[in-house]
Amino acid sequence: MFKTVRLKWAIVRSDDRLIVIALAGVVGACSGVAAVALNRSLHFLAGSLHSLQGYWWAFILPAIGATLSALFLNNFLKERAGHGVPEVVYAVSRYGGLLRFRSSYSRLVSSCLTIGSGGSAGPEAPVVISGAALGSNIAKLFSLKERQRITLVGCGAAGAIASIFNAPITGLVFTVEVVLGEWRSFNIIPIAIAAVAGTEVSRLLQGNQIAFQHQKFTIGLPDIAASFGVVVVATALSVVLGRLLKGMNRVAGRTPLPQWVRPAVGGAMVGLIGIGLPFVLGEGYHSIQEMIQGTFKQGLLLAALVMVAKVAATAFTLGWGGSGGIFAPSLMIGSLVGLVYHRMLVWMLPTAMLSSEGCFALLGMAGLVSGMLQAPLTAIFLVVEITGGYDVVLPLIIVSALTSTFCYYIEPASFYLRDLIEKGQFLRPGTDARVLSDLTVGELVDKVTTTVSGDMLLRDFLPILESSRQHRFPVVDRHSGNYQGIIYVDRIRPYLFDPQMHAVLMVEQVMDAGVPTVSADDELADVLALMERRGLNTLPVVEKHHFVGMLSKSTLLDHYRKELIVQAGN
Amino acid sequence: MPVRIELRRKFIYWPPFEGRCRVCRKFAIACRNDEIMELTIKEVALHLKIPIETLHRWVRQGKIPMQRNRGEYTIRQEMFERWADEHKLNIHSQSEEVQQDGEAVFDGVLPAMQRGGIFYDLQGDSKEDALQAAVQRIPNLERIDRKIVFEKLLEREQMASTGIGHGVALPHPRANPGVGLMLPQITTCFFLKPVPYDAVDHRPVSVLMVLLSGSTKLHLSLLSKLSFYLRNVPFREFLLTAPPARDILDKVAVME
Repeated sequence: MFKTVRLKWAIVRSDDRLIVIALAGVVGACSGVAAVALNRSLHFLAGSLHSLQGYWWAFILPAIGATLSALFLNNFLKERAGHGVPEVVYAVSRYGGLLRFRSSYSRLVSSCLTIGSGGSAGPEAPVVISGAALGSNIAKLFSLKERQRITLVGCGAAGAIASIFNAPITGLVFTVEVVLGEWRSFNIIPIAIAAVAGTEVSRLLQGNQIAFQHQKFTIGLPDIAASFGVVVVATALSVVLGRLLKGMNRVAGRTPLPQWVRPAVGGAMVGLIGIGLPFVLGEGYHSIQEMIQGTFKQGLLLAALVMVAKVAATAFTLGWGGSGGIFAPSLMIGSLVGLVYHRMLVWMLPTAMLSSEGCFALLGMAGLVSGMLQAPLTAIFLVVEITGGYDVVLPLIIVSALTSTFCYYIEPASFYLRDLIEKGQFLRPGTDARVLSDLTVGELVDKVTTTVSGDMLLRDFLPILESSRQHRFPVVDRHSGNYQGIIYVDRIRPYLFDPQMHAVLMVEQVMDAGVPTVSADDELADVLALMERRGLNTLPVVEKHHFVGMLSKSTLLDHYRKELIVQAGN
Repeated sequence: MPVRIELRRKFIYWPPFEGRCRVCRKFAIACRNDEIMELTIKEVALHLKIPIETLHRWVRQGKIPMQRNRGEYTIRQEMFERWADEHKLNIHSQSEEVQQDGEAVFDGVLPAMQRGGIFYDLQGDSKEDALQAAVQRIPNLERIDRKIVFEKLLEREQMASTGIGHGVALPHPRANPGVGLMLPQITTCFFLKPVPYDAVDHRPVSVLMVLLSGSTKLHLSLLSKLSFYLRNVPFREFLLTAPPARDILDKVAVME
């Protein structure tokens, strides 16, 4: 019996999932602490700067904040400015989840400066990259393998989102849907634990409060019908916001200003907008709360103006190099979308039996989040959890699903992944691109035993041909050993069957010298494209003029299959 | 496998239990346990038929649960089998080439002729009679097999004559006759008077060399070698004079 137990224990001990599950709680708690820290410092900064808002020069505050954050990020820590989430996805897909330790606090500080001073951005993406970097470094500390590290990176992201929104399921779903893109028990179990740990830390430190309290909504059939209109408006706004962010980035890149001045320009613009419409400053959670409760006093036109202004302010902040995420602005714009849509509808059809405008604010939030992230599940769970409003779930599902679908038709990639896809660095596990990027040419080379020299007569080549089973003979220079070309046996038949040519022709006269060669560190995708373009099934691999071996499609298929099997798991 | 490596794998290195078996916790001398088997990275790569570079990458990426034991990645046999089973990867396959190792290798025309024997003064008026007479002489054959061999030879003759000209024919079955011959053999038969045989040059045949072998591969090598010898004109002329067996074998030995 002891023997059986010991054998079982050996299997349990060598199971690489256990340590990940054990560490997931730690990572989730750490990233939860990071999220709470950012939340607290944002409140502190916003509170201490609030008294300055009355002065006429207050519009430069966002400029100063954004400039300081850019200086801190680019010059002090030498990190690339970014939203945070694309960097995590990039690290996961390209470097096995490797992130630098400094990433765990850099975005926290810089986004705190940007948002706290009034920039229109969200604190969620910065905490995601912080949590992810913590997970990555904890995995490095325990010298875990890449796959386990990726899972811990996901745990960090989940813990952070769960903590900042006090929403464990959102953390889990966001991580799996957006960051990892892999629904497997290997990932989901540790990530769920991390989400629980992050939420628990947040509740211990800040109390169990739901971000946006609301009254009970009653949903009728007219509301579900009206939610299709929310889909249209939310889709339009998501696309406009996405395009505007990208366009602003391009405009900022063209301006002949030093890099650290650009965020100041954007920040000053935000500040100017903020003089007239102070709603656009900061992450905007206070306004969202008002809209959900139905206490947002401003009229229809002003609300529409605020909506446009918020879009512009977000584009100015993030497009010109401020640091922060798109999550909170999406929520704010989305609730404005819902509000404006509801007021329009009531104005046009005063008799319609619609639910309150707070309900439509929720629908708009879900629409914009799912449109920007193209992650419908994240949007549904986020809105349900942060408002505690399970009663709106039916129209919520419709809005999320349809908005993300329509946005997919207009913009085939979500805002986070657009840059990665353009660079060809978006590699989800189990996909063709991922398998090809994992395999290297060096692993696929077939060793070729028999080579011939170029100055050999065809007559001398015949016995080699007779005794060998090869179909292709690489030709190398007798003296230098350099690769000259390759003999395809099926292409030299006319000479082989003509005995008069045997004593006349040299091997180098009948070889193919024009066959393209590849080197061992070429990208496999390029090599395959080359094969297809030239209609070849095999290519010679040449390293520093020396012949290494042949790369053939049949060997590739063999290894490709094994790689895919191992990658996709059981 | 060197003993030291075996010890290192099977027995614990960790100080309190150093030198004890991983399973029964007895010292090496007392341990009768040989269940534990750890595979090194090289052995795993061989089992999976992948390059070792790929396997190193898999270990790094955490795709295969191998542990590091003093600088060398290892995995327990049963864990490896479990893993391969979960991933539906084949690790027990034996390649075809390996199985053919038990088969006889081609050892030349001379031994085949010695095994087949040389017979003189056969009689036959037609192709069938001649073949029947020759098949009766073939050694190492059961009675029932002779009938099969004769039918197969006839079947081959009906497709195309095996008379290669200049009075020589090489009757052989189209495929492996399946009569349990391990080694190839050539039975040489000299006829008293030439037999009409539909040869390529329409000359009657006075020498039949019946080829039988256990596999197609051996058969082809034997056939190509023998027809190469028969292209040699002096040897062919010499053969047509029905010389004594010793002389023929000596001549073939010289040619080989």
